[in-house]
Amino acid sequence: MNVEHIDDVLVIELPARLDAVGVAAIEGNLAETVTAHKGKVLADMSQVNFVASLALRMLLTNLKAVQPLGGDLRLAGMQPQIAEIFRKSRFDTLFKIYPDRESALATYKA
Amino acid sequence: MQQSIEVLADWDSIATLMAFTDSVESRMPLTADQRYLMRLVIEEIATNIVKYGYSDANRDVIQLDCSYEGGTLRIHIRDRGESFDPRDHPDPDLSDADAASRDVGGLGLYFVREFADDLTYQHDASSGWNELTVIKGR
Repeated sequence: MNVEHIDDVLVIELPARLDAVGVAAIEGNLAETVTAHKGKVLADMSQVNFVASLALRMLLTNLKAVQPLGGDLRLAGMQPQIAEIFRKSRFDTLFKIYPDRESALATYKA
Repeated sequence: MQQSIEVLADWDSIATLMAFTDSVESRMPLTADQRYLMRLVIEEIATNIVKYGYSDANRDVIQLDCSYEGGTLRIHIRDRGESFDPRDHPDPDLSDADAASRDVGGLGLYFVREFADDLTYQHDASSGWNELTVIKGR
């Protein structure tokens, strides 16, 4: 899991497979990093080629953690099958989702 | 074309089953949707079997069999734990657009039902075996 700061946005690049094994590998670190930052977070999902219910749960937990602190967790760069999972579960109504990292970062600057 | 694996139904087996799908993908000319569904079945069904189907008192095997013929993928997943027909599980409530109150229960089985063309389930009371068959065409 790559983490970088671009201005005041914490950008997290999520790994390719967010299956049970992939989620277990990052969820502790992700929650810690996101809560410590307390602000604008962007998850770059361009490498992600698999998500299922566990990964959605993890992302929602982090969104819920950061929203009461005045922050947000926005998502960018979803591959078509990942976007379909978000559509089917209507998670696309819970998160702000952008086609790529640049457009998501631009909304944080606005 | 057919490939099978049998594992003890514990948490370590999920990684083994995921690695098995890599091997299946390298041998069968599956579509992107078929590959995704195969992973969903392991992620959502096999983990349910590990979690709820068996307890530490009766932990036994999961058998996974993938076959491909005429463009159609058939996935059979068998276990000897508690019987559970995933077709009976109610759809999750997807209407809540508020993150704070959104419930994520039941999404896994919903994904499998949504992505599959057909699901069949059988429980054999005399042998104790459960078998779920998931079918996906091109």
